[in-house]
Parts: sequence; structure tokens; C-alpha cells
Amino acid sequence: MKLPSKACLVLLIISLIIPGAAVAGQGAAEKIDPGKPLSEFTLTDHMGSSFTKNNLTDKWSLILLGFTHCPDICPYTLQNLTLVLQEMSMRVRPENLPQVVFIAVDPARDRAILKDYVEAFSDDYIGATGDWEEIEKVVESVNGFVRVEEEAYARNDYQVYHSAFVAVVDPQGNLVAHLNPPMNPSASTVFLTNLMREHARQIN
Amino acid sequence: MYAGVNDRGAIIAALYIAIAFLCAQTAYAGEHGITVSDAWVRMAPPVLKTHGGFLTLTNDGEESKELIGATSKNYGEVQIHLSKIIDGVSTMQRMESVEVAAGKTVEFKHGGLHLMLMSAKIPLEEGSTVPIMLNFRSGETVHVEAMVMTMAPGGGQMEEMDHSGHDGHHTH
Repeated sequence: MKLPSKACLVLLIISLIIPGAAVAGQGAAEKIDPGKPLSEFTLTDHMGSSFTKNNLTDKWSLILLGFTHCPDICPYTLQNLTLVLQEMSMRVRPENLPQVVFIAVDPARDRAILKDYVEAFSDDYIGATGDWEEIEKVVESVNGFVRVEEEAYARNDYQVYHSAFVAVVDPQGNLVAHLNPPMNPSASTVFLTNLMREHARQIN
Repeated sequence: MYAGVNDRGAIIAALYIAIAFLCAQTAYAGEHGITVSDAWVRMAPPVLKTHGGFLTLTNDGEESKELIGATSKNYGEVQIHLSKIIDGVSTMQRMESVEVAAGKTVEFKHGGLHLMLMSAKIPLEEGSTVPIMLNFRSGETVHVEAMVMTMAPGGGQMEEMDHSGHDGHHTH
């Protein structure tokens, strides 16, 4: 796994102290138009099967970058997505419901426990992880960011800094939106169903 | 596959409201004006040995109080952490202490402070409680039983995060 430079970590810590930095890019969904085609990648899903870009086609996907040892943001977002899917199930046909994909960006700790972790949230969720080089392809594809806290790495209680958005990928494998925290389930549902409707109009 | 999900959701929601109501009744007071309420631990699968603990500290005393740490017989170590989303990136920072000024309340909640419960010795069970001992600079300790739940008391999961939150409550 590639580790961050010390300089990057220092910058992160400095940015933690600047309160003004907390405002940008939060609180709303943003469209990415035109959509950005995802790169090819090869990961392994939580059931041990190969998980590639092909698994992101023919259906809508909601992709979250996270790690299993994340105590707050990741479980919160995964539970929030359950609420989004519940609301969406009242508006769209079951086959049009997006799949939720948790990209586990800390394979050293995530790999062994990913199945139990993902299934604790939903039997329908997909967890995927793999070699860092492959994870990085997904991270870059969805315009994301991941860095591991280097100094604590040896202690095994390190933090992983990661994008908190949920990436929306259309059935053609294009990144078309980010849902930014805080994700209101109702607002996210409206945004997603409108996006899907627009997309269907463009395709037909 | 998704049939009945709403019914199930409604039942679960009702359960949470009931649990939250019970939780709200439970406050733990220290000797010198610190009250701990709404203490809960986020449910996690047994494979996960690191858990997040949340609570509300209220200082009804006349002097500022400083939480300097916590312990639990169920965990190898407990740390105080601050989660923040900065420029869209989820970050976390260890805090040496958290100050609760006289007459003030500090919430440990999603998107802010939490207790990082590490090296779990026993798996979490929904509806059970986790004993946590909070240690203050004054030497005071407050024992709290935190409820194991999937979502925050009072349905906090549905609420938007408060970004103006915790600045000023803590020291680095």
C-alpha cells in the first residue's frame, strides 16, 4: 500500500485547524455533467468474487469510499443510504434501485472482515477491496481522495482520511454526481430520482 | 428483495423511539455538577473491535470541567476523537481533553466528537449496555452505561449535521 508523504499529513493537520475550510463542498448534491467514464479496475467483492467496472454497468450505483475501522462517518453514511433506498423504493421499480458499493480503502484491515462488516448493514450491499493500485483507480475515477495516517500505521490503530461523498454512477459506468454530507435522505431521493429520469430521457 | 422493507423500517423506527425514550430517562450525575445523558455506542458487527461512543455532557456546576479520558472494562483503550469533514474529506483527530464550561453542554455526536472504543473484549449486542468511566481533570469520575444502538437516540440519524458545532469546546 502506498503511504502518504509526511508533508501531506502536516498539511492535513493544518487544514484541520482552519475552521473556514469546513464549508466548501458540503451539504448538497452536485451533478458532474458531462459524466466521467470510470477507469477499468479489478477488485474482489465481499463474497470473494471478482468485482470490476462491468459490475457497475446495467444499473445505477452509489459508491462510498471508506474503511471498516471508521467509527462514525462510514457507518452513518451506510445507514443513511439504507434510508435513501427505503424512500426510493416507493418511487422507482425495484430493478431500478441503485446498488450500494462500499469501496474499502484500507485493505490491510478491511479484507478479512469485509463480508461481516457489509452484511451488518444490508444483505444487498456490496463491499469491494483489493490491491492499493486497483483501489486508487476507483478513487481517482470518482474524483475522490484517500490518505492513510502514516505515523500510526505501525500501531495498527491508524486513521484513514477519505472523501465523505457518495459517488453516483450511471448504468453506462459514468460518474454523474456526488452526494455530499450531510445527506438528507429525502433530498437525496428526490435528487437521484430526477437524475435517473433525466438520464432515461437522454438515452431514449 | 425490497418488499416489506418499509414495514420493517417502521417497526425498527418505533423500537428506536422507544429505546431513545428510555435512554433519555437515564442520566448519570457526578458529584460536582457534571451530568452525562444520551450515552450510546454504535452497533457494529463482532468482527469489528473498534466502536464509536456518543454522549452528552452537561456542566451544571460553577466551574469549568475538563474530560481528560475514559476507560471501559470491555475495551483495551478508550480515546477521545473529533471527526470532521474538511473540504469533503472525512478526517479524525485525537483529542487530549474536552472542556465543558460552567453552565454549558457538549455533545459527542455524529460529525463531531466521539469516544473511540478500541480493542473490544466482548462483541456488542443491540439493546445491551457498555460501561464507561469518564475521567475529569478534577479527579472526578462519572460512570455511565451506554446503550448499544444502530442509530442515535431521538432519530438523530435523520437530522442534518450541525457544522457550527464544536469549535471552542475543546482543547488541542
